[in-house]
Order: sequence, then C-alpha cells, then structure tokens
Amino acid sequence: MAKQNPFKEVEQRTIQLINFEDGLWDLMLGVIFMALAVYPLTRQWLGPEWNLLLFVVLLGLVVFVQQMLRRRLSSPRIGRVVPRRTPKLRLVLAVLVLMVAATLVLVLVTLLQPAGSGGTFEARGGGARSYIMEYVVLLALVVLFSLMGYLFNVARLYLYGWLLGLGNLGSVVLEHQAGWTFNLPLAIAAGIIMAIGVVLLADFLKRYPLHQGAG
Amino acid sequence: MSGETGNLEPLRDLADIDRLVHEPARLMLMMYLYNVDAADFVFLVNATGLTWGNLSSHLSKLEEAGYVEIEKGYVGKKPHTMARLTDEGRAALDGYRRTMRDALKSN
Repeated sequence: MAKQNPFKEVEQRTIQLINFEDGLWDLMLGVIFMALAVYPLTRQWLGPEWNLLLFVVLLGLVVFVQQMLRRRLSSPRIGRVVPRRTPKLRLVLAVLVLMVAATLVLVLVTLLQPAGSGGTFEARGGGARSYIMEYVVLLALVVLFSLMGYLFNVARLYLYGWLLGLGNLGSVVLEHQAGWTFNLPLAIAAGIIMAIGVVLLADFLKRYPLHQGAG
Repeated sequence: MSGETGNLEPLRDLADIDRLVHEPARLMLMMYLYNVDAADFVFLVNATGLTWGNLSSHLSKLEEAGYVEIEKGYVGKKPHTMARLTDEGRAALDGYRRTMRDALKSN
C-alpha cells in the first residue's frame, strides 16, 4: 500500500491528538444521542415545550462540560495547540459545521414529531414517505461521519455513522411495528459510543500523566 | 544534449541541503509546527516522543537559526512555553521538501 504524504500524516496525527485521543468527544456525542433516544419519554412527562427546553439546556451543558474537561483534564496532559487557520482548514470546518447542523436537524425532525401528533409513526405521514426520510437521515449520518473519519483518519468514526444511522432507523421501525416510544436501538448505539469514550478516556489518563513543571 | 547530467542535478543539490532541518528530530519538530500556528512543549513531547532535554536542545538550535520563535508565559501559575515556526522556518522546510523530492525523483 502506498504511504501517504508524511505532512498530511502529521497534520492528521495533530488533529487526532488534540481532538480524539481523550475520548471526550465520543462521550459528548454519546450523551447527545442518548438524550435524543430518551426524548420521547421525557416529552411524555414534561410536555413538548419544556422537553425541548430541557434538550437545549442539556446540549449546552454537555458542550460546556466537554470544553471544561478538555481544558482541565486533557490539555495539561496532551498539550496545547493553536490551530493554523488556513483557507483549506476554514473550508473543511465550515463544511463540517454545516453538515453537523443539517444532520442534527434531520435527526430532530425524524425523532421529534410535531406537538400533539401523539408520537406515532402514522401521524408523521406513515409508510413510504416517512421511511424515505429515515433513509435520508441514515445516509446523512453515514456520509458525515465517514467524511470526518476520512479527513481526520479516525477509523471509529465510520462505525459511529453506521451505529447512529441504523440506531435511528431501527428506532423508527420499532415505533412503527411495535409501537415503542423509547428509541432503544438509538440508545444502544449511543451507549456503545459512550462506553468507547469511557475506555478511551481511561486509557488516555493512563498513557498521558500530568507533566510537572513547565509546559 | 542535457540528457543524463540534467537528471543528476537535483542529486547534487543534496550537498547543499539545510543540515539544521535535515536532522531527524528537528525535521519532525518542524513538521509538527508547520501544521499549526503554535504548540506548547507538552504537545511537542507527546507528539514527537522526544525527551524534555532533547526537545529543549533542538528547539534552541532552531530558535538560534531564526526558524522557531519561543514564547514564555504562564497558564494560571504554571510556566508555559509555546513554540511557533517563523516565516523563515516555513521557507526552510519548504526548500528542504523541494530538494529532497527532486533528489529522490531523479534517477
């Protein structure tokens, strides 16, 4: 197999070390999708408006905690880097941000039925039309995570795309076939990602002890 | 006809290669710094696998040559040192890449 450009390898290794080595990103992703998985249950208790508010607050909290942990736990161990804002990097980041936003909207659309619909599959149009939407979400998740996995050379992101995509599809199918309101397949997918995050974090803390003295 | 001697020209350029960049540890350091705006000592130790002493010594040589800037500061109460490749350092690494690529491509 032909070796790729060593400069590109170094660039990818830098991104891996700073963003993906500590497992915090995986934990954040797992928690967000776990919140989406239990969304129908909490909606039954809280009602649609309060539930949406809870989700938004939780999303903000998860991002804040992840950033704080990265600053307190991860950066002192792995070091700090000021990224170089090249036009190429800006373009990649812009595309990724747009794709993440689009995918999140798609997942929200597919999981969060309109208020008063009762949360049933039929209420969303049922049949082929809704399944087309679910396939679009599956495709969006697989493409987004595969693109990230390819760009940053992080193999587990390919798995995450399929796990979350199929978890989402499975949740809709179960809701349609068995009337389940709890998105169990998506919860399992999110749980696997969280477990991977915990293992990575434990391994990270063991492999990268705190440096004493100057940084 | 320029023929064979023309092909050997890039190999001859190897004699003038920048030896400061050519040293493996320094080359590795410069490659990491090339991809970022700045990085601290902890990151460079983790990324390159060099010891603190080696890292410090190689960065000092690169700093003396004007290829790297070292900024000393504090994060909280702890001393913190950031290293940054200068424009001169980037040019030196670009030149090194060109020379090596041409030499290895020539036959």
